[in-house]
Amino acid sequence: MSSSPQFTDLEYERSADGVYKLNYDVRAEMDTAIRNHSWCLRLSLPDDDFFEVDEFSRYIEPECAAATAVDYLGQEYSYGLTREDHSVFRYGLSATIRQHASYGRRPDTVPIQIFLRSDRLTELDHKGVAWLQAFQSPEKPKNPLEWSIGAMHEITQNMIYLTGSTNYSTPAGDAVSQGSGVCQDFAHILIGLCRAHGVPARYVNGFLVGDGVTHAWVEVFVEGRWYGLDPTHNRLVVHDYIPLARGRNAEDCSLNRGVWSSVVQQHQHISASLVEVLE
Amino acid sequence: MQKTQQRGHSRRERGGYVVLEPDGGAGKNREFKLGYSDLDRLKAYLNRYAITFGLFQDNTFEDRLFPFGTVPRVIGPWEFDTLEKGLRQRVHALNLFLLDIYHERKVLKDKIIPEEFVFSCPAYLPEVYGLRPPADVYAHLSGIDLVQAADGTWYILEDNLRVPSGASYPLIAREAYHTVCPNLISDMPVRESRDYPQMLGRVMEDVNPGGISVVLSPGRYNAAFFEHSYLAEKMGVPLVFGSDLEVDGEYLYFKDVGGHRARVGAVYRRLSDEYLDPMVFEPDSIIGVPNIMSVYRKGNVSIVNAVGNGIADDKGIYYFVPALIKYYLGEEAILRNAPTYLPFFERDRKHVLQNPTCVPMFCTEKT
Repeated sequence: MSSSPQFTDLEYERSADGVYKLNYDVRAEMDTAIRNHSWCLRLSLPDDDFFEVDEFSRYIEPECAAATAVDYLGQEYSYGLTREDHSVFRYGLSATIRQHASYGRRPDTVPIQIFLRSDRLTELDHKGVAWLQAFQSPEKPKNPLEWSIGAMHEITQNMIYLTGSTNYSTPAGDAVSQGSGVCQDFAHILIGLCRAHGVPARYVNGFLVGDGVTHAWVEVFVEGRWYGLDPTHNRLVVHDYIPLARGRNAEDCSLNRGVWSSVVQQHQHISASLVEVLE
Repeated sequence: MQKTQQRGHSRRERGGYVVLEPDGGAGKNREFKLGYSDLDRLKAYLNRYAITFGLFQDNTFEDRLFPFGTVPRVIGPWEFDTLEKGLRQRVHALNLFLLDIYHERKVLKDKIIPEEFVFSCPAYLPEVYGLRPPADVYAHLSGIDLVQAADGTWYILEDNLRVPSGASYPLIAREAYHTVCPNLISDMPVRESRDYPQMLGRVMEDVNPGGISVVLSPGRYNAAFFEHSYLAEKMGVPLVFGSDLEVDGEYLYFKDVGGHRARVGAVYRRLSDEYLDPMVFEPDSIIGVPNIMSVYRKGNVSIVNAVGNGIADDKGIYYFVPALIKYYLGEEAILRNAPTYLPFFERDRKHVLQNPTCVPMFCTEKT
């Protein structure tokens, strides 16, 4: 069994080094003003060791005192309470990021086993389990990373990307059954497959070069290190991806949550741009 | 624990009376007669004061009177002391287990419990990793179910360390005896139980990092709403709903109707973990307090009971509690578990297969 898998059909040759400019802006418009709005936002980049943050700023409007705390994975987030009437809630961040190594993450302090437990969003139905059995070749045991890449290929062959075909709480099983979904669903399916095979897997919310909104991908834990896999684009994550939040599933790393006590229609305009800049 | 006297020995009926004999009538204590008319008056008293519990059935809410057996069951002093000692021991071990399982996890490294019993359990909440509750107390109050077998032996039926319910009913019953048949209590060496709310209040003060204490109820349609209001009143603390509390910056506050704010340091919450904070758990919860987990994590508020306790009263873990007592305290368990077989282990599997009347138990979430 090889410990350094071959990624012949994957984009990996290019050097991982690069400088990126990140701009993330979310504008939520309510049709009626709200007040006493409690919120919780992911506006901090993680302390990964494959990149460094050169410049960083963030904002929340209406301007409001923001407190910070860390979650169970040690990720920092902002929370607060906006009392005044407001019909627009806007927040975002901008940063200059210098990547100097391939995408990856050292182990966290939490036990790895929590990324093996299936949950409502990542659980597979019988069709997903049938896939799993179909592409498992019993004669040749694979390195778990190679295996996960095989699972990712399987998703690409069986699923089509279709905006609006699922929603934020669609379980992996439903997406498999209908054969379509978006990046969140592709990620949940790959997580479900990996966990069923005994490979710890988790969800990542973040930014991809060229995407207009945030993107979701997967990390699998193999031989003491987290590797990134993007099932939407069927590739190993090496460069051009900047994580913002990690967790067991999409709900676990939602970028914003808010609570207020009136019924309103809300429209969110999200713009995320990650651009590689030449120095 | 030795076998104790049979239940029937402590009470019997004789010509219009129920006769209670503490210590089976063997000690120096006198017997006491409780007339049938007293029992009728007790029932009338409880009905009049509407001691109720809520019930949702067929989509309608009904407030029902609490069913209550009016003839006291006598537990002798020696037996009571043993139960108390055994329960203290058990809760102490379970509290140490919770501290360990969310931090060092030595109990798994030492293979006292197979790790899948913990990691596969939905009640084990990674959300509380790195969070140390004030004074390291997780199980501030516990509702441990005891059952007495026909031969008099007491067994532990289950542990309840999440949001145990029902403490108010025996207090009210005791109150009723004091009113209806005051001699029963004053003539007999009955131990006082009515200081429960004061004890609970003291526990909350002990773990309170600053501010007032409150009782957080999900609302009047909760089955135990009567109890929430009763305990708040007896403790002399505000009874609040989620919308009466707010997190602002580093602290939790109670907003009263006059618009004043007071910092809250301890919350006796009567809603389960998944509804406590919509920012961390169930996002659609409107009975919780947004961002309360953030200030809890910072140690600026105590949540009673602690968040994540479900792992300790899980049916799969129950099997291991005697081993946990031995592991954490170096003592033999004073109170026994009800005989339980876990087919996960070869020896137990054999027993279950050879004894078809034996019902297997699996590691599932409590219902």
